[in-house]
Amino acid sequence: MGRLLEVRDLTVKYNGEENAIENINMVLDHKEIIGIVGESGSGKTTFVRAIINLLSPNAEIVSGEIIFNGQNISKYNQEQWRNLRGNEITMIFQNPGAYINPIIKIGRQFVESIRNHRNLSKVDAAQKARETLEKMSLGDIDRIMNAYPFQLSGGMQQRVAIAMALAMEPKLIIADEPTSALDVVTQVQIINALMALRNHFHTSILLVTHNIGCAAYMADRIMVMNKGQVVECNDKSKLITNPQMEYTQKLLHAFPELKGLR
Amino acid sequence: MMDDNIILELKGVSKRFKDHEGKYFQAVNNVNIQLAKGECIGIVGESGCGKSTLARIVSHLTDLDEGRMIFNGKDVTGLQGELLRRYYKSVQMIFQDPIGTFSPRMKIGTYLMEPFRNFKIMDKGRAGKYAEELLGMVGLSKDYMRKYPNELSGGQLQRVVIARAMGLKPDIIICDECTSALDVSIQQQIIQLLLELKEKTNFSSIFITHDLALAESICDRIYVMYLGEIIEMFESQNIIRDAKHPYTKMLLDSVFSVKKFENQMRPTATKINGVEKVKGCVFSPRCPEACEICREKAPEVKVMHNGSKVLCHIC
Repeated sequence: MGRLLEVRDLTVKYNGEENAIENINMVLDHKEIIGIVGESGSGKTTFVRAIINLLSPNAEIVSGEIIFNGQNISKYNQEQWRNLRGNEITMIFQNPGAYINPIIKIGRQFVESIRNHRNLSKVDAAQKARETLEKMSLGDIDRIMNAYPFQLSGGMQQRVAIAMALAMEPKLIIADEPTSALDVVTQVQIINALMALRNHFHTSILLVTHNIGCAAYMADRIMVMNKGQVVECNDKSKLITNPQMEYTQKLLHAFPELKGLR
Repeated sequence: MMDDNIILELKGVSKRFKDHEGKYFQAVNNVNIQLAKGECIGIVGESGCGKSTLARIVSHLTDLDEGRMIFNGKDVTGLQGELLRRYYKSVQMIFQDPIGTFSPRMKIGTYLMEPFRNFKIMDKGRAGKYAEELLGMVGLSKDYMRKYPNELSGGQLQRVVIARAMGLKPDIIICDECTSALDVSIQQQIIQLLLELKEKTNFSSIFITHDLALAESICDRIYVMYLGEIIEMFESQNIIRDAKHPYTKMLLDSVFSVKKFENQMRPTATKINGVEKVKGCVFSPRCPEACEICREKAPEVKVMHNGSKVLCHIC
């Protein structure tokens, strides 16, 4: 396992107001999954959006460096970002319906996204799209390719979005609340699909979630954030069995647990 | 359970929808539910199982096709006019997405006073005072009266929604996934608030969720729904011990836990849509334990020794 991503002293603020996140340091290895947990407003989404350079226009990176694969990507220009984003770093959003274009069939969108990054013919790109969709256990691939987004359920849309994200076999996937909008059964299917991905392609994953149970199941390490700062970051078993900070304990306590497991 | 203690009873309620091709979709199928005074029942199931349709039927937002609905000893199935208006007052609903229930241009104060003006319970001055009281009850200061919805967080908005629903002193409150859009610590606060209010005013509630751990912590009884049918009912002391139906067990396997995070979650069979009528047990196509009889004959309700009811051949 080598180092894939290193974030040094990252500080971001909006509209020149208070810092949204402050002096964040993080190291992510190849094949590693880090779960970033915290309440809404704790700055976890700002943090991962800064890494993939998708902050809103009124946000500003005040200080810090982001090193990805030995390159300082915080100094990249638009052209370099276009090559990197969607290719080596991809992102999965909370709401797949907003990510997929509602009036274009899944197949065409998928082919377009592949041909943006690879010099493939339409036929070859469609073949690649099918191969990726097959890994997501979606059932009838022809139906999916010919469907408009509204004809698929939320869980299926999210799996299509994940398939698009991993068609390029990225080194890093950033998943921002990928299952929060889905019900429990679909949630497990998505999480298992993401974990299978890590095992097959050695992809590293940054998982943003407010569900500490989800992070505990999936991640190797958990990073707890509150008010723009890292509260605690440790191996998941250590963090759960022996939380050092009061805030982490509070968060663990707030998680609803079935009685039979207590 | 004493009969006169029952506030709401659903008898064989069914509802089907027609899709754009003219095919029928059975959203709710022969549902029997009893709700006692001061009781909280939970309805759990995946998305698409018909739990929200059931909630809309109970609150009279959707008409039912078959069956009867008894409220306080009276049949309210085909209620109309003034009686229906009164029914609306006694059954209040809290939705999943708080921001969706607000008009963005209406101040919180106006929003809170609206039902009292609408049902002609009190005049504007008194309604204002009462709205302030209600805000205090859910732990918000009266400064919030003059704020707009976009100035409040999701948790605060959900408190305002609860305050308005409570203000009418309803007999039944239906919570349709009322915490699933909120993060865990806010979720805990809202649940705490609901439990406190329940202690004070003793209303009955129907709690709809897909989170079994949450249902266990708040409900007295839990109904599990699958493709429009109630397939299991049990007292919710300890779901892991009491759940018998393979579907409920499957749901339990997909609940995250921080205590037992090493547990491997079983990959579950893909969800099927209920458009085609299944012969035999509705769950048999997905059931890991299904045998010959499950695919042939629809199961009948079995009463277990601990009082729970199961719709399954093999339990």
